[in-house]
Amino acid sequence: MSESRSVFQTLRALTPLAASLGKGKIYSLLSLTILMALSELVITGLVALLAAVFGSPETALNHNPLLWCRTNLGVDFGNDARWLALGILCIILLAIVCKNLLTTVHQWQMTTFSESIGNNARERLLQFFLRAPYLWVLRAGTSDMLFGFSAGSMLANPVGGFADI
Amino acid sequence: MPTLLAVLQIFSNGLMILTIFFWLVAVSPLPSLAFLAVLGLGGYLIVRVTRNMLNTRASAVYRADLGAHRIQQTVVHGLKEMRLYVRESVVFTAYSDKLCDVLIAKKWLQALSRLPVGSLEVMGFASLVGVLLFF
Repeated sequence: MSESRSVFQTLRALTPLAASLGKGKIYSLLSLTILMALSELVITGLVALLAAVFGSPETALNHNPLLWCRTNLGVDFGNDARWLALGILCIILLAIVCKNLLTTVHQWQMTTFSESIGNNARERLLQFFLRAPYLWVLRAGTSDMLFGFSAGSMLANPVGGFADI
Repeated sequence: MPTLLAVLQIFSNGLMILTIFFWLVAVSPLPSLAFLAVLGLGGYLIVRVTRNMLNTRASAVYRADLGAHRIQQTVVHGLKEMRLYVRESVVFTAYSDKLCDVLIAKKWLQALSRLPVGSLEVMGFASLVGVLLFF
């Protein structure tokens, strides 16, 4: 136990417990994390653009992304920056709804992943003690069993923390 | 018991919110007050509704966890009888079912715990859209 392990070594050591969940689960969690980070980035950019529209409408209307929208997409904002601000706010609102939906799905998947590892550990431990020779169980004592169960029930939180990188 | 750091955080957050509030009211009183009223009332309602849901889910987690713990204790203290009456498979199935209940209850609790923050975010920006449309 004195040996120190990195996060990835610990995750690799716990892989047999996550075998029933499949590798797809880990990849889907990673993809969701990347999508969430991207949505945060989009929201930050849009909020900065909104601040620019409120602060200096003329500068914002002649900003490169908006000029590109005008010339290539044919979107005309007119001279009223209010409509532009409204459009940006609506896009921000949509992005926030998407981000919150993604976060909820991520939370659901993450809980499933981390709790399943803890539950698998507890199930395996119970199965082991139910099948182990009775004299061995008597010798090892019940403290090992209780310690194992409490360790298994506490496994979900660190696993969730590792996978939440 | 609140620490000095927590007190300082509350003070700085309060100061920031009050500054923004007074600045908004001074710049454009009617839209700002309408926005704050909608946000405050909506936030209060959201927290009130989700608190009851979270309470229900938290007690479901507690009950399921307690059930699993009771089975563990039965195994720890009654292993001899369990072996004598060949009840290992029954106990194992009951334990698996209970852990499944724990998992489902925890999933719902975690997903619902995100609801207040998410709803407030959405409502905040939705009320901004509303204010911009009507004023």
